[in-house]
This record gives sequence, C-alpha cells and structure tokens, in this order.
Amino acid sequence: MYRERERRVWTGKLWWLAGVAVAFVFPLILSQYYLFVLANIIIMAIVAQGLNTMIGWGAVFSFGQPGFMAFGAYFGAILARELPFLPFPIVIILTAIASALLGLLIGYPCLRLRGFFLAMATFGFSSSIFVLINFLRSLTGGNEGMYAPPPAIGGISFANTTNIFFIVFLIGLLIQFGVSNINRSRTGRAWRAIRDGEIPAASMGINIAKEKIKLFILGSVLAGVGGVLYSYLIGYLQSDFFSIMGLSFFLILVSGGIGTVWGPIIGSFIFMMIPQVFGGMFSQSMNLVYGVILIGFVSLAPGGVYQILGKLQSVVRRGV
Amino acid sequence: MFVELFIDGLSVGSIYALVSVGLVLVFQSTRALNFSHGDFMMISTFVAYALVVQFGVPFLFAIPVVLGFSALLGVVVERFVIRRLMSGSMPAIIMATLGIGYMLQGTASTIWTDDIFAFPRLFPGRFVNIAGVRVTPQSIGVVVTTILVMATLHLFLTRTKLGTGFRALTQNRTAAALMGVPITRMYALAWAIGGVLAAIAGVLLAPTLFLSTGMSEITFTAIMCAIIGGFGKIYGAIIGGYLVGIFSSILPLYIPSDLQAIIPFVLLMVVLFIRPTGILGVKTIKKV
Repeated sequence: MYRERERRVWTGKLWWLAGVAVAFVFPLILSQYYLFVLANIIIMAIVAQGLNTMIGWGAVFSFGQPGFMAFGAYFGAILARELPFLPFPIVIILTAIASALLGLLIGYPCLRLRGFFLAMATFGFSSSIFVLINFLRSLTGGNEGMYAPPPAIGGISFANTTNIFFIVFLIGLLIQFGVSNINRSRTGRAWRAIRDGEIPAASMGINIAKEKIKLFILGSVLAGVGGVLYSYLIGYLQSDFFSIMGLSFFLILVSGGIGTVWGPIIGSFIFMMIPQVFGGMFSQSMNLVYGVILIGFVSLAPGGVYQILGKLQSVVRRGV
Repeated sequence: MFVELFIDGLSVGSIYALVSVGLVLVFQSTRALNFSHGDFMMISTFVAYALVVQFGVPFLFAIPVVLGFSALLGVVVERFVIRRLMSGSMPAIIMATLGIGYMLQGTASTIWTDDIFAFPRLFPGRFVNIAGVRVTPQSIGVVVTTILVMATLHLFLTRTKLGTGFRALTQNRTAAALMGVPITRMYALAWAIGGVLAAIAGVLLAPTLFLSTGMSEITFTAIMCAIIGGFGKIYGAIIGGYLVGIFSSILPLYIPSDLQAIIPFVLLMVVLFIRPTGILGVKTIKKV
C-alpha cells in the first residue's frame, strides 16, 4: 500500500517534468503568432487560476482580479525601468511580494464583508487602480500608456516571443504545480470547507478570517505575476487593456470548470478561441456571443468543459 | 456654483436612486443581484431612441411602449434564466446576470453600434433663474419625476394588497407562500418593476450623459449606492443614491476632477467603515 502510494507520487512528479520538456516542443511546431497566442492563454489562465482559488475553493467572490493584474504589470514595468540592472526573476518575485502586500492591505478590510459587499468592494478597488494609473501621469504615462521593458538579466534581454513563451510556460507550470499541491494540502481542504459552509468550517477549528486572507493573497499574487508576464508579452501598457478584461475571467472560469485545477487552463483556451472562431461572422457583436456562451454554461453545464470531459470519460470507460 | 452643483447632484442622485431601487426590489424578491441592471437601462433607452428619433413617434406614445418593453424584458429574464438558477449558488446567479448583461450589450452594439448618440430632452428649454441660481428645466424635471415615481412605488407597496404581499415575501418567503401570496408572480412583478424603473432612469439620464452602450456601467455605481444605504432596504437605496449623486457632483470642486470616478467607492468604504451594515441596514445574525 505504502509502496504503491510512493510510486504514484513519483510518477506524478515525472509528469510535471515531462511538462517542462513539452515547453521545448512548442517552438518547434508553432509559428511565432501561435506562440504569442499560447503565451497569452497561459497568462490569462494564471490570473484566472487566482480567481478560481478564490471563488471555486473559498467562496471569496472578487472582482479585483483585473486591478491586481494591472498593478502587477505596472509595478514590474516601473521597477524594471527604474532599476534596469535587476534580473527579471527578481522583478517577478518582488512584484509577487508587492501584490501579496497589496492583497493583505485590501483584503484585510474587505474580507470583513461577504458576498455581494465583498464583490463590490473589490470592484471598487479595481476601478480605483485604473483611475490612479491614469492620474499618476509622471509615473505611468497616463492615458497614453507606457513602454514596458522586456525581461532581461544583466543587460541581456530576452525580447523575442520564443524566449518570453519559455518564461511564461515555465512559470505557468510552476504555478499549476503549486496550486494542485495546495489543493491537496490541509490548507486546500480548509478552503473547500469554508466554501461549503463557514459555520461548520469554523466549528471544525478552521480560522476563517486567516484562511480567507491567505486565499485572497494567493489570488492577488497570481494576478500580479500574470500582470508582469503580460507586460513582457505585450511590451506596452495601458490601463484600458486591463479594465476591459473585467468579466473575461468569469467566462474563463465558467467555461473551463470552477473549482477544478485544470479548469482555468481549458477555459482560457476556449476564451481565446472564441474570437478566432466567431470573430469573422460576428465581429460587431462579440459581447452577444460571450453572453450566450456564459449563460449557456451556467444554466446547462455549470461544471464547464471539465465536467463534460469527465462525463465523456466515464461513458467511454463504461462502454469499454 | 455650490448650489448649482448641489442641484446637479440631486438630479444625478435621482437617477442613481431609481436604478438602485430597482436593483434592491429584484434582490429582495429573488435574492439575485442583477449585474445586468444597467444594461436593461441602456437597451430600453436605445428602444426609446429608435422610436422617438428614428421612427418619429411622439414622446407621449413612445414612453408607454418603452416601459412595456423593459417590463417584458425583466419578466422574460426572470422566467427563463433566474428562476432556473434560484436554488443554485450565488456565483451561478452572478455569472448568469453578467452573461445577460453581455448579451444585451452585444445586441445593442449590433443594432445601433457603439457610437454616442444625442438623445432628445424630455424637458426642453435653457436655464431658468430661480433666486439667482441657474437651473435647467431638465434637472427639475428629473427630480420631480423621480419623486412622483417613488411616491407611486411607496403607495403601491404600503396601500395595495399586491404590495403588502410583496413586503411579506421579502420578510419570509415560506411564510408568505403559506399565506397565499403568489410567489412566482411576485418574482415576475419585481423584475418588471425593476425594468420599468431602469427604463425611466435611462430616458431621464440620456439627454445629459448622451446615449451609448457604455451607459450600462451605472450598474456598479448603483450597487454601491444600495450598499451605502443598507443593502436590501428600498429607502436605503434612495438615500444612498442621493448621497452618491450629491457627493460626486460637489467634490470635484475641491479635488482633481480625474479622481471623480472613485468618489462612490471612497464613500462606500467610509460608510462601511463607520457602519458595516450601511446607513439603514440591520445586522443579521446567521443561525445554523
């Protein structure tokens, strides 16, 4: 029994290593354009993963994700502009720390609220970030936006799409590994207990306030890191990029599958493919398409594509 | 200047009050926070625009049609989307209403594009001078209309059988059902009233703000107004609406006008800091 379990843990880790190897395959088979799209998908998935942990596991309903993403992107870009000697991994780590602190600062008062109140407080935070970005012109370039430096280590820049794709892919894989581990840990179980009922969770000895803060900080850090990566990929920042993202993350979560580890990745793939599929026919009414898809999933398949795949799998197994 | 801005604030606040009262009515009955409420307002206003400007129907005939349209829209959304999800989780309902918002937005931009349109004034005329204060007939009209609408709503809720049933429903759904209140019809009624209030607000707002698909952003401000007033309280929503309207008109005198957009949020934070339940809110204790 013990041996069996140990072996499964090992093969599990081997799969993650195989994932690293896959990173080197993509640039061989995909054109620069599709590498860019794929990197974009991974970045959206990272931010959506943050929202997924908050809503799907902990019932912390936040509209703050675009704001934290914008904060991360601008913080990383301004840091790299003012201190060009910093290697980019340090920039990413510092941004993650700054996002965590901001998450603590915003989360501490906000998490005393719940449900709709929390949602509105985080929405207000998010829109205040955009207003501040446009207000602090000397720092952020205001409405005109600002140039974001590419990732660099000691003067060597990794500006081309392939390099950025590697960075994004590896960080995405690391985050996915971390999140799936947290999911199975004591903390992950505590979060799900809170989602299923705060009062029972509290009576089991879970410190609700503390766990919710942890959850909120995790969500903010993922959004912040996603923001830095986004600034690398696009190379240029404007607050509008983030403010229009507002509801995309909900669509990603619902279509992929809320509360599952792989849902956000499937979801952001779907989300990015929607304009490719429908863009030609319905370019004027993309919002209509998004709305129909969102409602369709919520009312017909609340577990998203992940659930549909699971059902298909069980049907196939039974058939065989 | 101050008095003029104050009156401006009253007129903006009236709009917020109308929209957030609609939101609260819908929330009280179906426990669904309607994130597409602003889109209801936007699309009804576009329908009014199509009737009045594109087809040349007189305002007097167009308005009943628009109000009917928005009521019908509310009923349809409640019947086919919300009712199926009411037993489900809060995130599901939020996402569904967000989805409806997207759909209405997409429909409007398909038919009328995302451009900005000038909307005819319901209360035409230039400034009027009242004791040295310059006021537009528009803002007087907006405030008076809102007061009339609110008074009607108040009378409906307190003096009619249907209204009493509605108030019973908001207090205790099961008990109300057992007393013979037609619950499902009440849901439809609440969504219809919500739609009508949104349409009135839209027609009143469009002449000053211009008409565009971006109008629907008012949803979030209106939700903040409702929370400031004490969420779930109709009179709270009115107070919250006027507070936000007045503050966001007057404060730009003293702070950089770039920051105007975050005034509702700052006000929300201040109110929640002092009184976590909002101004009229009552603390509810969750029982197991």
